[in-house]
Amino acid sequence: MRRFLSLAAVVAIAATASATTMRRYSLEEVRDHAEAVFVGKVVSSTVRPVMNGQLVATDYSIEVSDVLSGEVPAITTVTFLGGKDAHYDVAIPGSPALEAGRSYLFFRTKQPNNTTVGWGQGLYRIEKVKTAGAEQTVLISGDGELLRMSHGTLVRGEAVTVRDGALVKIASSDSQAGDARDTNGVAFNADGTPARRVGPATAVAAEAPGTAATLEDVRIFVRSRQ
Amino acid sequence: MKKLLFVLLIAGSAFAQRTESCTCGIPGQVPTPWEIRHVDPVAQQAAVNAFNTWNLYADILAPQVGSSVTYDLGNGHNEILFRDFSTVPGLDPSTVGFAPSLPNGAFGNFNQCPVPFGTSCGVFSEADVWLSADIDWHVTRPNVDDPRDAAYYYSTAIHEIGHTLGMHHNFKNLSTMNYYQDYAGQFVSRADVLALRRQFPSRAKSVSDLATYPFRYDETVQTGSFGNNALKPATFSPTQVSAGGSITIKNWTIENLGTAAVTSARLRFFLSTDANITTSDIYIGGFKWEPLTSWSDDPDGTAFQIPAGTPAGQYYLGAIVGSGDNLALDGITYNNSWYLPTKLTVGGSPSAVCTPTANRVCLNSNRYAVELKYRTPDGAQNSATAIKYTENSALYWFSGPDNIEMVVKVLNACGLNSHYWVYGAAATDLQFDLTVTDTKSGKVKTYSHAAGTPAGAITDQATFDTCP
Repeated sequence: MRRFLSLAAVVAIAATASATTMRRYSLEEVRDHAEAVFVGKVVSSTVRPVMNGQLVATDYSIEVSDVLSGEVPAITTVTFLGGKDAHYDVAIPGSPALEAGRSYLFFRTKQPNNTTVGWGQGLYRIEKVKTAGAEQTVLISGDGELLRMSHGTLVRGEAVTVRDGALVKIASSDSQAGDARDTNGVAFNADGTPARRVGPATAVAAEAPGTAATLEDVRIFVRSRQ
Repeated sequence: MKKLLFVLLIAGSAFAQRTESCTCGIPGQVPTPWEIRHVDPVAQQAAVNAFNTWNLYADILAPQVGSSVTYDLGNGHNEILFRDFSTVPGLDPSTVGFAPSLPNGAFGNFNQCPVPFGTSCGVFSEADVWLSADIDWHVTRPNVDDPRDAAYYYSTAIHEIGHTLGMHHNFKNLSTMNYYQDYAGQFVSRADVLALRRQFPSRAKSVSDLATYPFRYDETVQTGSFGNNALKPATFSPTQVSAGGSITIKNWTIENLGTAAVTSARLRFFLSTDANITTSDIYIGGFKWEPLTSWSDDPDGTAFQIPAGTPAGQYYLGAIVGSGDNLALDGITYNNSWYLPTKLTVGGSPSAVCTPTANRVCLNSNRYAVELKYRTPDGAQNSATAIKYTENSALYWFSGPDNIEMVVKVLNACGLNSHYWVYGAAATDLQFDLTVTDTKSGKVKTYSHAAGTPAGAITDQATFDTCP
């Protein structure tokens, strides 16, 4: 505990950020690694020390409204490293921070980790957006990627956010002019004769105009688990 | 439920797009002092190597082994160390490392590039790298075909150190800040170096660095499993070919990580009997860029001809990047070459399979085809008539069977100098060309004699080196 107090004394005025190396799961792996998949609203949170007092974690109390798989009580918890309250202030940006009163879709790991699979990869914020006068519920991962359907398959989309009720692509505040491919390459054989460039074996299918995935799409996806 | 078209939601979004690596947060002191708390000297050296990989491009990190203080997050020291991650609440069990930094908010509250508009970034007073003590780290460079779960210390350390420099995840480009498998993760990419130079302009070094990788990033694929489905390994096809045939190579990448365009960049492919690819191996062709400013790759493939004289056998396909026709290497060498684990089998040329004719004998169990052509004084070229005299020797005549013009023998001397020997003696002053073909290796040698001069003996013990 002394060590934690030592840390707390520091982080009370200077909290911690971190980033993480973990598996980049496929959506199928996120599903298959989850012990439970459910929708719920954050009702409260509690911060506590972990790792012998060298870090803190936040237990979020979740009011469950929909269980897609697994056994989940009406009130359950999900835990993420980091947290902030009157005593502790340790933020870990790679570790999601949930907002009280907001609803999320959780792909929760087994105990004792009690977190979401791949952190932001197994956590989806449920948002309502308006487009052309219509309202739709969309799912945005903890990593900021829109969950969408393409060719009948659930896929990760681009990083987005919701601004004034509309879904917008996240653009960088930095210069993102792009880094174009050099197309002046010339191919040749060992004897100096031109080497033959080969065209695509099959035409690459154009990216279909995707649809934002719904909770029902996810339900079907979860039930398709082998 | 009615679905809205995604294309309407994000007008103008282009999926065929790469994302530059980005930074948010910066160390308070540069070069940043680091303390390596590993006990194992091998791990200590691996850590030093990881720090120094970033230092190749900017003078920003000052690692030293050991520490004079007790570890604590918040002690003001930047430290890299192993910790037990096995049962930590709130930590995904697959986590192998993370990089806590102080103070809160300096790193920005987002997980992948690009930096969201309006994000606040700050200065780190301390940054540490925590690596899992629960896994069996590998400190040697993985082979290109190593299992994806091989935890390569160097790749993970480079990635986490990148975070302490302010770099965020980049899942949509070639980047060590991706979650690629360990082999790909070991390379600090062009996207990373460009971000590094923007982050530390006064510390950036002027360098020349061409890099090539046995994989490419497919920007049309945005979904990802571990290592990201967008990472396409280099391949070649077919895997069996005759000398003189061709193979199609695709999915490699070349990048210019240097501070200036390379006026004459070369990527050359070689066949090697071992995994050490050198310019002494069998050269089969390549690419040139004049100049190479940024990067290039080949998603569709290019067919290269296997030289006709390529000996039969199994080969690694590899590549070397350099500049100029002499393929001069730059000073940063860890990313200059690669090879593929699948071997290419080269067989003899089908056209050289020895079938005896009136003008061709097949010696040494029909392996060597021997033909003699001569030119009469009026300039007409003719084929000499061949007589197989023994299993390994033949006679040739021009004008009639009673007038033998030449004797040729091909001997198996593999037990003497690992070669087949070709010996011949002519009894003519006419111009002739004696052609010997090893149908197993595809190697061909022609021995010529000019008209009007005495014909010297042929005593070749060095050409045919495929044994047996």
